[in-house]
Amino acid sequence: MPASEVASATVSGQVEIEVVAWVTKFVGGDGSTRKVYQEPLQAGDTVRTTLRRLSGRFPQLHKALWDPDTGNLAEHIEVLVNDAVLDITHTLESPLQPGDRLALIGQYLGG
Amino acid sequence: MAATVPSCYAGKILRVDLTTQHIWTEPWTPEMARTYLGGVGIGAKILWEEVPPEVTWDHPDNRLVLATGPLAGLPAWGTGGLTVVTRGALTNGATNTQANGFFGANLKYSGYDAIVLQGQAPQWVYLYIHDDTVELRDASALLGKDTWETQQALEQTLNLTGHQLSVYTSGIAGENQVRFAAIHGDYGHVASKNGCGAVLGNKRVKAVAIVRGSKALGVNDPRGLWLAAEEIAHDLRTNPSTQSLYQYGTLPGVVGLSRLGALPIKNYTTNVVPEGVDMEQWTASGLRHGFDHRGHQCNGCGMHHCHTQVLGSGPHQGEIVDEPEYEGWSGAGWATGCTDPVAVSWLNTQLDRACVDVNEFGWLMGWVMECQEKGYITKEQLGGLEVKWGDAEAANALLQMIIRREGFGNILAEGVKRASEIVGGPAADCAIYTLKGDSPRGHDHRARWEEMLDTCTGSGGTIDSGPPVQQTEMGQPARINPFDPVAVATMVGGTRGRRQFEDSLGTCIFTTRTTLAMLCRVLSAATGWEFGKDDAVAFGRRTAALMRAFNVRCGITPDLEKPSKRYGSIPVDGPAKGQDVGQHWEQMINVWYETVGYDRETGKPLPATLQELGLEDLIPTLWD
Repeated sequence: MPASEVASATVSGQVEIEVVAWVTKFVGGDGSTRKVYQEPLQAGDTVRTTLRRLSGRFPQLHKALWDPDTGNLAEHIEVLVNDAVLDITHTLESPLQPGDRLALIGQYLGG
Repeated sequence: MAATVPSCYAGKILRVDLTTQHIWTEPWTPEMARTYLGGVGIGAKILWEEVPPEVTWDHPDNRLVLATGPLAGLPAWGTGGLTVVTRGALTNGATNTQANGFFGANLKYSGYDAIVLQGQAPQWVYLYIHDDTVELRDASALLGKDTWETQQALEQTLNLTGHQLSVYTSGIAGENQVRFAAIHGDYGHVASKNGCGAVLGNKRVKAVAIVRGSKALGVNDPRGLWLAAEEIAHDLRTNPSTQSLYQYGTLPGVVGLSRLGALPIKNYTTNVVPEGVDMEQWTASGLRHGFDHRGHQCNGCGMHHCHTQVLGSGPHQGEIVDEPEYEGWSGAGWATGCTDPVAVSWLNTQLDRACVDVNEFGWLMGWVMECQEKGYITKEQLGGLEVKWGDAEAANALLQMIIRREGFGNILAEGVKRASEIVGGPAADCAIYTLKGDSPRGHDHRARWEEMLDTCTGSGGTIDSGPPVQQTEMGQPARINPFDPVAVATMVGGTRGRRQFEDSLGTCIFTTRTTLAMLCRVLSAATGWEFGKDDAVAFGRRTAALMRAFNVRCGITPDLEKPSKRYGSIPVDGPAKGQDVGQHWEQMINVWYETVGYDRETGKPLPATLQELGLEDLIPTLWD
């Protein structure tokens, strides 16, 4: 799936996954701006299966996103679903609908 | 216990009584070093033992501790650390605040692990330290100078440049005891919390000038230290969490926090980035490469964190400024509605030069701007000044009034809590602070409940636990639902202690974002002690409990551990819209108290907790 530098219109049967700023480092970017992927939905897709499919194509993202021991999210990247932090409206096991939007944002390390 | 203090310590604490002009040293004992380490560890001990409740922040008998730690000056990244501990002006309670630069290394190379100031000088002085020469010198020629000017003047007077000389000063704000005055040094490094600069000013000390000394430090296991330090550096460069910190410092915070609803915009009145703002400018890369820049590293540091930059446009084009931290982009920018990076960068350096805490300034200025827009504060009150959202020049004009306590600036110099109480009426409801008197760091904590809880329960004039770092090592989950009150309180309480350990090492918190196990490896190699993760956690919790006990003795009780009305309000828009922290506050507080082993009613560490931490000596004072 080629990455585009700008969001394109979501089409039926797809979800949009936006990789933001620093996290683009893990998908071949330069750590700034963003990359947007239109991910076709498959029957029964959840947040977890969709993210797994994306990270399966990017080993560095896979390593950063998942805790190898538990299979759950590691602490490095925040996941938003339709602009809400995971666990507000969706969990990892929530089914996704066409047009849903996921975003991957680097963990906050502030001063 | 070894008969001598490990050679990574300078071995002496420098004591200065400003009233009598008496200067002396006290040796560390091996037991003291092992028990209190340095930094906030030794600072907490001094506060507890030497500052009784009647000695308020502005009492001459208050102590101002400027401490390093066992790793300061050693060949590991970020080992120039300064920890300031005192009874501070905003909360009138304990303060624990850090700066980096070169202070820690320069002081230890002169032969001292910490400076303890007490008393009040009859006239303005600066403290000069060069090896065994320690003198109080006349500072009258430095009065009225800002932080950069003070350093430049002393460089000229002493004929020293660059890292040969560290000058830490509280600038004009400290001279006038502005309650949120900071202590600034080495051009851009600021210990900013709880009005520690007001304490320095109250003591009539304009500056502490430390010549890079000539004394050697040693380590128990040089190869072990080198290997562990290299591994930490490797971790910082390659770990998914810290790579961005390594490359860009705290710059990625702006975009990341804006997406989480935690970027504070216009005094918490919105969480939506205004239309027309190009957020590509605000990415880490945009903020770094949007300016001509160069590195400005601290002692022995390989991080690409601290930078200076040149303003490329606007009324101050060509000026060299310090690249703001995230907190500067937030406090000098977004909190006041300013979204022009060039203007924010300029204002941020004016704050450093004036020597005030950028967070408190952001809440104060955002409050003034909102109040003027709503008619709660008039142009006449501000001496004819109009302070509109995003106007960095007007904000600077007001800053200059504040640090000189001119006109309405005299009220604002009291900080946002007290200023809002003085103005009263509907204006009071718009101010962001904790009831203790301090204020949050530069986020919208209504989308970061863990940090709001930490800020309100913290004992050092700011956060005590901080954002979780390697929290799984302390038995906490990798991630939690940030709006689950029980999970939040358990995480904040469960990670308590790590930060106090870090703040006692003489290092920068950005270079300690590795496991506690690794930090203990470095400490063990340096000292020859067998110091493990459990020792680190126990040390940190003991120090936190001591600071808490000090605050309780000062009258800071649990009823003050709350956000102000605006700070604890419900976001009206953005990603955290509708999340109501107030609804869960009591539950969060209760869970936190249970987790840390403190008494919910009085705030005191429970006798069993004190016993477990080896602080049973405090039980009679606190509980009998």
